[in-house]
Amino acid sequence: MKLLPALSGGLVRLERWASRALVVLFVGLIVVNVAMRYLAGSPLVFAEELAAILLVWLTLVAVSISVRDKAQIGVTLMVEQLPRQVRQWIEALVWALIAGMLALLLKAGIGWVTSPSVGFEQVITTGWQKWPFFVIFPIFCATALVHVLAHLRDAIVKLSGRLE
Amino acid sequence: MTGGVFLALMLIGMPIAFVLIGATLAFVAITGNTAILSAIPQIAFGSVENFDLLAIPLFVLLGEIMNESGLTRRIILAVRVWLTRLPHNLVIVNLISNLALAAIMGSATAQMAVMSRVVVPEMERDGYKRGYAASITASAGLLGPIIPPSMVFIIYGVIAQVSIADMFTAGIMPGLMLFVLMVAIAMWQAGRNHDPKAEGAGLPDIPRWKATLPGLATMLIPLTIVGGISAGVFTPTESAAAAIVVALVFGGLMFRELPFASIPRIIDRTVSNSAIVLFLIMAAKVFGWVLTYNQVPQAVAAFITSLSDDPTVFMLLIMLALTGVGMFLDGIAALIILTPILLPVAVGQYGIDPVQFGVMMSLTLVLGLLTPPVGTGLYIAAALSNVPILQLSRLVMPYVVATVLVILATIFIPWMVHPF
Repeated sequence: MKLLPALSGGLVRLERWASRALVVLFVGLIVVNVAMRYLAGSPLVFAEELAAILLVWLTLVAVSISVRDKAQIGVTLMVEQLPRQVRQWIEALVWALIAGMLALLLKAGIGWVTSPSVGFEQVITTGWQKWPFFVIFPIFCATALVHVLAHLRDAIVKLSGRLE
Repeated sequence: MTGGVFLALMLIGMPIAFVLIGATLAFVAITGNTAILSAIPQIAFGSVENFDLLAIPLFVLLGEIMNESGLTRRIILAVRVWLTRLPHNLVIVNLISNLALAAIMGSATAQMAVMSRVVVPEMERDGYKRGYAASITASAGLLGPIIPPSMVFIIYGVIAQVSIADMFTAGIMPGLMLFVLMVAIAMWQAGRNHDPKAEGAGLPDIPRWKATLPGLATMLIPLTIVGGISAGVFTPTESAAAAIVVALVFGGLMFRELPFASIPRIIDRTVSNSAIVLFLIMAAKVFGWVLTYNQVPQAVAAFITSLSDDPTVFMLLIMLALTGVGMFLDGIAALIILTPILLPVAVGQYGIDPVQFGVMMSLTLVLGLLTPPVGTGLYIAAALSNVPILQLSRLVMPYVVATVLVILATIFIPWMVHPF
């Protein structure tokens, strides 16, 4: 059962590189756009729209990383007062619930990306089809689900007293 | 029922963004309306597909570059060498440096973290009690979300569909008023928290010009941001990107304190910090659909208008309620969740200016950074300065009162938010 942590570890390395590339890409895009506007007098018309789409990509990749790093904020004030055993049960419950949510969102995301209606959506300034950009949503759900399942596995191992 | 699920998930410590998604899914399960489930991906994608929101990761990145490349230290040093003859000059240096950093970073917690590491030990060497130094540093961090650029104002502007440049302008007067009040409090307390025998112990031994030139060069960064936006040269997002280029040139090429190898680490921290805020915006947009469907804003409006039809009383009631919320919930999360509920009531029922309401709301919620039990700013400053949290909570109280006075000023003097 060490497949999940290994898969999660490999995925997050990939995600970190992807997030770095996305940050460099949209900073570059905005800077080039400003430079073109003032130096060449011809801004990149697609820059703002494309940068906004890249932000969605960055957000979803970043959220997946933050799930893996357990970096999302929650109100843990009450849970911290509970005995250790109860806290471990609650931790497992939280991960199980999040896994359920992500599975539902994954199904909804696949349904959305494959629905005929998205075929009509376009990036206005370039005329490109927009659905390939939407693919990030189900990808995010799948990667985050892997991280959550790895955490759930750890929580269950802790609960069953087989701490590694 | 959805509210019950929301509360239960919150109490078991689930990350807030997932609490919002969980409550939405519970609503789908209860009503059997699966159309909402199918719409979630589209709503989530559209919620952050916004050019203005790009300013959030960009300003976070700028703050990280400033800290990593030593530019923050240079600003502090440049301010310090000019104030050596003033009594309690390091107290003023702390506050002025915070004011300068507030015009660059936009995030209170990042500012508190770096200033706690840099200035508190310096003040201690100079004979000030550590708790006193930490209390000034933690409190001055509140200038971050008020003085432009402010991440909180960017988020409010996007949610409320208000010009971000207008929000930035609105923050200037309240920010300066808070700065003046903080200087007054810190100077009033300085005498009994200082051992004069140690004064000057940490004074840097370098010529003034040598400290001033790099500091002045670094001040080009806030100038790029504030000047660029007010002159109409840049949008807030573009100003952040331009400031990043300036920071990279100074930190990397001129001062050579930004090794290339540190860039991935800087971006990783940026990504991590931005993910929290952007995911909250995404989840809140999804949950907002449920609120609208259940007509929650209308119910809130009916309840509040039954209490008073006076706009000032309404603002005071909201301020009181938000102070309570801010004590338990992260300010940005609360802002994202509550703005869609409260703003239509404020504007639609009471005719309040959305910019004035936004400033009041943002200031009240960021106050939560300094109030126990969940004051993130308190925890950061206490941990990095090694001061007990209870002691620090007591020491920041005068600054909390000062912030409340500034919030009251924004309610009673609308001119404060429209100075130009």
